[in-house]
Amino acid sequence: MRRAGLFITAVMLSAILTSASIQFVYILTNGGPSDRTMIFPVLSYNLALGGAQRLGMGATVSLFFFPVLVVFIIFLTRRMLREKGE
Amino acid sequence: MTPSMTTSRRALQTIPGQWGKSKKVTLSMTSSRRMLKGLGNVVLVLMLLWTAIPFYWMIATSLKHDKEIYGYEATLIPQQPTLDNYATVFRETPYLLFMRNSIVVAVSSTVLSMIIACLGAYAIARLNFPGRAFLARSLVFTYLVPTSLLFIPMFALMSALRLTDSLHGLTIAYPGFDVPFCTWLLMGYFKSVPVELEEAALVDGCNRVTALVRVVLPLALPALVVVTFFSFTHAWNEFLYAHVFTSTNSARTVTTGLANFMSQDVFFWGPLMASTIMSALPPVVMFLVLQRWVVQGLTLGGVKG
Repeated sequence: MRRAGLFITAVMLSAILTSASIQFVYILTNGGPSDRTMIFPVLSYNLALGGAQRLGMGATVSLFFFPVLVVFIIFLTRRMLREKGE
Repeated sequence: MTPSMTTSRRALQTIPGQWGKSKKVTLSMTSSRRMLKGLGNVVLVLMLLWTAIPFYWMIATSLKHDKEIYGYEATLIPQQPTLDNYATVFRETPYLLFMRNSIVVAVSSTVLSMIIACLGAYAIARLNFPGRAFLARSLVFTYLVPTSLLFIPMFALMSALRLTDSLHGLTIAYPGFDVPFCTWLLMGYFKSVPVELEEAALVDGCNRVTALVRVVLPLALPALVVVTFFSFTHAWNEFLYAHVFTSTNSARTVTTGLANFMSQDVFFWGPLMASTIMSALPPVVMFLVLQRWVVQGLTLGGVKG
């Protein structure tokens, strides 16, 4: 039971960190060919700082992605606090 | 794990019918367990190769001549090993500048996060003040919000403060994600240090700060080492902020300096691999030196009194 809990924590932590990891995609494919490997963080980077410099649009893309993550984050925060006995 | 467990259990159930004698059953149990262990070893070897082959390829490529790298046949072992690529890195790129920038940023942001994290963790672990639980909660929350969501507002902030393209900007930005994790880890560790020791120190005339510095921190040395190592490697490996906040070589760290090699039209793989290997060295050396305490620290930090 305790081990199952650890697995869930590890998987969720990894899911959050991986879904938002930008450098591998940015360096390897940069979202190409024709957006087949595009992910939210790279898209927001390209909009905000690549060429057109549309900071607002980039921030908006990030914000769209945030609600998906925030569910995970809230859930995981509770778990980690419970494990720590806070 | 589970599928193989069930097959071994099924094997145990069928075998008594076949052999009839209990002695054979125990024998077959050990053999099936041995098989399971062998299977585990095979998986481990595969995973080891999965991790190690890219490193090997990196080292091999850095030692090859251009002709061999771009040649028709891929070679596993460099035919005529050469250090030319390493020489090229130093001759034609500002590699030492990148290295210096990385070291400055990593060391100073580590020191900064350590100071903040120690004080913060001690306060949350020991002192009783309103908003303590909220602070602990927000620490975890901040740690979990990924930087790739934060870099645009951070960039806007840094531009407004005129801290872009400087090492100061990076040094200030990195503790933003090191501090929550470090504080979180230290908090658990500080709690495992007996309160009585501190009370004794307080009776003997320490105040809170001297008690922290003289009693708690020496006892928490393993955790401090882990946390130092974590923030150092993090600052060393960090790519996104370093890429976004810098625009000239004067402030580029190793990671972004290398990526800049890639963004040009010609990939020069040999020097790129050579510089990658050299930039991987400082954390490796640091890990080898600190390893003893790191392992101890990881186990000790998890134990609660």
